[in-house]
Amino acid sequence: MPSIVSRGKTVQQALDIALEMLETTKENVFIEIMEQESRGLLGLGAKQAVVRVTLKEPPVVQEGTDSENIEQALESIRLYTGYEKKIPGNRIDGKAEIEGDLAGKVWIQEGVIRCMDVPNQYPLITPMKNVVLFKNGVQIEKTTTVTERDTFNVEFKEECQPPVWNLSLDDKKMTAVLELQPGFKRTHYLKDQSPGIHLLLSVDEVITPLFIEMQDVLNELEALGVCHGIVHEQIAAACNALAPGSFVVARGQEPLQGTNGYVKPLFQSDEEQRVMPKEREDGTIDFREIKQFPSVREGVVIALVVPPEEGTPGIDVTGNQVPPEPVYDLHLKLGEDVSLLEDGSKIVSLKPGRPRLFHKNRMSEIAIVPKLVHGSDVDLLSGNIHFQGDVEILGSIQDGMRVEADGSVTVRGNVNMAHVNAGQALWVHSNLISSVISVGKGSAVTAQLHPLLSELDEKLDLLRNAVIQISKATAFKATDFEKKGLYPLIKVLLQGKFKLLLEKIYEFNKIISEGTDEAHWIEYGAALRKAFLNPVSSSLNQIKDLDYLYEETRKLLHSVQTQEQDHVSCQFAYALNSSVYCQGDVYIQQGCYNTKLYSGGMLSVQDYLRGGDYYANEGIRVSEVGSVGGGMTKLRVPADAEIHIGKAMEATIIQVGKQVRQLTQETAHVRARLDKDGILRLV
Amino acid sequence: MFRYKLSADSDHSMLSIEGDIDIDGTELIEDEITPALMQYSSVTIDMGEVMFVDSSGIGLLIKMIETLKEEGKTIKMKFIRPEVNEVFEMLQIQDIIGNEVFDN
Repeated sequence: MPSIVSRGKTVQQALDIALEMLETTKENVFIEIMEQESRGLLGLGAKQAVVRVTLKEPPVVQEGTDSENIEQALESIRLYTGYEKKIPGNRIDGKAEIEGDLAGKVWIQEGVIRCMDVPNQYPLITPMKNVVLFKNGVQIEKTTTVTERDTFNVEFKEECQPPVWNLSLDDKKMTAVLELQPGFKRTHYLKDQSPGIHLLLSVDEVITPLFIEMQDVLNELEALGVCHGIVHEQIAAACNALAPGSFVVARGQEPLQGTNGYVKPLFQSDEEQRVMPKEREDGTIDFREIKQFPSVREGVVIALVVPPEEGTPGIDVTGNQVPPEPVYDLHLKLGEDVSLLEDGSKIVSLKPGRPRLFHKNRMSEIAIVPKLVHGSDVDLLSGNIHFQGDVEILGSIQDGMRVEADGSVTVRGNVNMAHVNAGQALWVHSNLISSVISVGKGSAVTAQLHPLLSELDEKLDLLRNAVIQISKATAFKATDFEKKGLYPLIKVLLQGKFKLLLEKIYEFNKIISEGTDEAHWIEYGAALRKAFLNPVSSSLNQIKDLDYLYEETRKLLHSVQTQEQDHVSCQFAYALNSSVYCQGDVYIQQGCYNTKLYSGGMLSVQDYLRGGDYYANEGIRVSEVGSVGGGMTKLRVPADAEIHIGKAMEATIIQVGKQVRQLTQETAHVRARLDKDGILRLV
Repeated sequence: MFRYKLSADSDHSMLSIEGDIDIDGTELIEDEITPALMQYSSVTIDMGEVMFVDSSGIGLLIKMIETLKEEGKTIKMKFIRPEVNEVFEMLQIQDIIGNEVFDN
């Protein structure tokens, strides 16, 4: 039973005080006199009376459901358990939502800290991260007590980031793009918690997006002069976007391009005639029959002239008209034996022959190529043939004879130890035996010089770099360059590091001197000699001389590899001990023995290649390469092309770009190419 | 330009070069040193005091070593400074005059 100890002048006084404090009467208490008062002597030593008063029984709780009754009841309980007087402040809310025993506890409701006091037991709160807690005006960072007398404030940091946006037009003023980084507002609030004796205060955050205003966007568009092609849905999307992005808010209309004037042939053009062989699964080659050359009678419409068609202008976002690209009229050159009808729309042949249309830059040329048909063999009796047109030989071309034609050459028989030069195409129905063939611009010499030129191109570049590097070395003096030029240094390089280059230069020179009358080779050969084979007065005095030589090499190599011409091709059944140069594709219906071949296009071989050296600029496709016990067969392509072989015997040498591999055993399904790291792959 | 010291005991000679091996040393190498070295069966070239070379100098050096080797002499080069060795390596001198000249 709780008791109270009170003092007074007299026991009665002490008792009265106690009863008043307990708000009760004598009947409900036990009384203990602990000390009687004493008067002392002469006013000194006077002592007060001390009385202990103890409540007899707990008071009776009154019945009733109204809050007044509950209040009273709660008050009584409080009276029973503690002596604190009720003080307004952190009042308890009488609503029934709060559950559980509340005395001596603290709780958070709707973001407010509340508590109910009891004596000798103080609930505690600890502010956690992001909670800036003030108790009675003072910031508290550690755990602290909570009483109804205390006033608590929690401060929150509010983060606000406005949206960032930017409107820009592209160069052509065809689109207006809105770049947007949406904004947001981050607010915190104190989390509600149920009653406890020690609460850890924590916060929750709410992120609300901040959007841009459509009117602001429209105003900016106006400021930029945008008045056409505004895409309102995109603007709306941007004004509601939660994630950063780009929005095309205005789009112009691109102009519709027209077409230039052109010639529409009514015969199969050279380009259409180019056919690629098919590769069967077993690796063998199958090429469809190459069609014959087109041929027309006189008085036939061979082509139509299509006039240019203007395009339609577009509109940019600022409302300006965007003109289409200009269209050009056709530049037409009428060649031999053709005529343009008066209305300018049709071209007619005036003689029988092969129609030929080709394009160079912006010029189109159309003509009928005259044809010479030679009824028998070309031999000593008939004499050599030179013709500015097509030649068809119904027999063979015999030993030592020469046939030269600007157009195409067709031979029904063989070519035996003879020379054939065709400007455009060569079709030999049978075989080439020990002959020299050249089709297109360039020549057989080109076939031999091209690989060397390729190597020179590469090595000269390396040589340049080596000279520059050595010049920069710390211990190297460039003092003698003035007196003696670069040659002393190059001489040392040609002895050691660039020994191979010197060998190639000798080889190159030999081939040129042995016989070619082509100016570009002769000039280049002379330049090489002057630079490297002339110790006394080499042309290489400064680095720029070496640069110049390298440039010339590059240019020559480039022009050899990319001769401009309409489609050139060469076709035959079989070649033995021959030299074949063709600027374009080469189709071989059987195969070759021991032949040197250069193709500026694709080399397709139905059956085999045995012995010899074969280069094709665009790739090689062959069913079988090499022979048991035979000599080497070398196949070469540039770095960006591939070699496909159905079955390759050992002693086959494969070169792709600079990578060379010799097969040491029979290999099937070879697909030689360089992978992305430049490594030569064979399968 | 460079200075040199030639010392020998019976068959073996030691050639110490001090300075730059360059075009100015042409007569020195061709007319004085090469003939002088002919009388010995082996020579060690001390390159410790050689700082700079030019292309003519390198050419002269190579020619001298090749000439001596043709006569059956054994040549060794020692104490080559790293900067000079850098130039030798860029030119792949060892492929021209032989690896054994550099073996120590």
